[in-house]
Amino acid sequence: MENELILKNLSEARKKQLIAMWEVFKSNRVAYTSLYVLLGLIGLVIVGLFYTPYNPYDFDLSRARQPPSLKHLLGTDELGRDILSRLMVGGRYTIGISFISVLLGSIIGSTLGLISGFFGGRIDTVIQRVVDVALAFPTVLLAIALMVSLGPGILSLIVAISISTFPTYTRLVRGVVLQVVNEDYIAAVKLLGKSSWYIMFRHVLPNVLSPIIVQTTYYLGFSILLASALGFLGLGVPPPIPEWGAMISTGRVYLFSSPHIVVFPGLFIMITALSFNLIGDGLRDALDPKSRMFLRRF
Amino acid sequence: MTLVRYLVRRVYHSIPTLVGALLFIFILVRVLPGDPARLIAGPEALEEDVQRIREQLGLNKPIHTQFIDYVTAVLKGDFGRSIKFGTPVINEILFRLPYTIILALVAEAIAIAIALPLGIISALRPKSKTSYIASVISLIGASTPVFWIALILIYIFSVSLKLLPSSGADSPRHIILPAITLSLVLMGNLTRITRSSVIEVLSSNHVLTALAKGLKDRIVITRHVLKNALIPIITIMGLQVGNLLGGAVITETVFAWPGIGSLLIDAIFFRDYVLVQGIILFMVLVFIIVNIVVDVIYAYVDPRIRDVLWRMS
Repeated sequence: MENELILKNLSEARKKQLIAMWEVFKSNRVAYTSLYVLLGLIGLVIVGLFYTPYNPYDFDLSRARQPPSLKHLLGTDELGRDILSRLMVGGRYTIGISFISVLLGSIIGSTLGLISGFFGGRIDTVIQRVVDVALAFPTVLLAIALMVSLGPGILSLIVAISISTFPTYTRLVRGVVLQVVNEDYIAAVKLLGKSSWYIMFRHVLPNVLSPIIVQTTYYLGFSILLASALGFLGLGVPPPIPEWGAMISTGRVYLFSSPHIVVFPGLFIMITALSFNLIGDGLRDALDPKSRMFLRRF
Repeated sequence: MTLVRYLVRRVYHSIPTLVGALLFIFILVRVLPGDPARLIAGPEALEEDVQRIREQLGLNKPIHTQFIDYVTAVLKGDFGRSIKFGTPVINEILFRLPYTIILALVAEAIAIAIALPLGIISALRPKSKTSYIASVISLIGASTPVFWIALILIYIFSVSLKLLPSSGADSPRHIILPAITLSLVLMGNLTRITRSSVIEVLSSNHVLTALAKGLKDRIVITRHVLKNALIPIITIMGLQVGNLLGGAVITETVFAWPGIGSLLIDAIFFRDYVLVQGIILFMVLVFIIVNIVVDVIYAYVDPRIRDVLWRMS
């Protein structure tokens, strides 16, 4: 009975805490606006799953490289394909690939970090060595190397980006775990005879959730840039798929006469990455009271 | 003497990482689809020729012997022979390297010249216009695709204004656009770190003491704040070399700048895997060495760390 009451109060307190966080996030006008911009963009991509103004793959050289007009809002590309339609379809690749790979990277990286920090010993050494090696490669170079080895394609991109992002999570999570693991409440749960995995996910993980969420938001922005850079270098999704970076790559030949082919996909990439970064700033302030106080003081 | 001992220790500790990196690069090329010997010989080659190349490259030996051979060769400075050019890979790299170094230095200089003052001023005057510009610059650095910025710069300065050349490396003017592009990759991060580092030192006790003693603001800032704020900035510069190398690959490709970054992309499209392997290894080595150097400098400039580390070694 009493236990139930405590649990009920606890969940109420959690709810209140979440609402308070949301209020802080909302008070950051820039971050809040970015959230809506991002939702709008994702909405456009979702609409693209069912409807596009034109067929994004249909080419017609007679209407090639037209500047923006009422008929083609963002103009047409070098093969006369409607750029808006291509961006709507390409978004599912650029944004989707980043989303899946960062999610994978964060799950794998965080789990390794939890194991590494919680168990210590030999397994910690092995995991840290692997992370050392991954961090010895500049991120973009690691992704390029993996793409060369795996060959172009959506699956390769997902693998390459998740491998490029996981080590940061392992480092981050391990650091926090090492701070927490000697706290009294962990010792108390251990005495209750709970299994290590239970303690790890139920009691240690919540402590690292805020930094993981903030890091993930930033990485979403970063991986959009990485995926499109690989696409631009011709190492990403093979044509004719209108991945945003690949669109810039094919359009660059016509930079002199028709810059709009390059400008619009770039703007889409920039707005997406920018939104993620600004939302990340807002989340950091909302989830981590310490950094907020720090920032307000100056 | 202690400095040397610390350096030795630091190098010793990066050996596992180095072996791991070598193994990783070695595996990357082995898992490539298709038979490397067949790739080198070309599609019309006779089976005997393919067999001969296989023996030449040691591909017929067991895999662990191949790895040991690879490591021994690398230790001797032998990165293999380029499939496309037939020349030693290390020669190709050293031939192109000066271009990348010059580009990186100019880009780093531009980044420092703009980011340091911007970061410091925005930390000291958080509500000023400079602070606003600083946050815009660090956001642009973190959110804009490098290759796109490069193309936009080409459009503005080469196509519209016809002021600067857009590709190649024939004159000193050719470096301006690629260097600006690459510096934008570094600037955002550098501004942010400088700003937060100065803010942190500003709130520390010794700065409060100095201010309480009645020292002039200018003296406190130059003598107490900046000196301490430089330490994290030095650390970030080591990590920046990673961004610099990655950014160089993209920037050099867009501007046809003949450094090792564009060589890497060319090698990838020539399917010259020996060259690809060599360049990647070379860049990783540079990155590892720079980080060792940065660690040593870091330990050297900060007496608190120096004492602890040197007592340990």
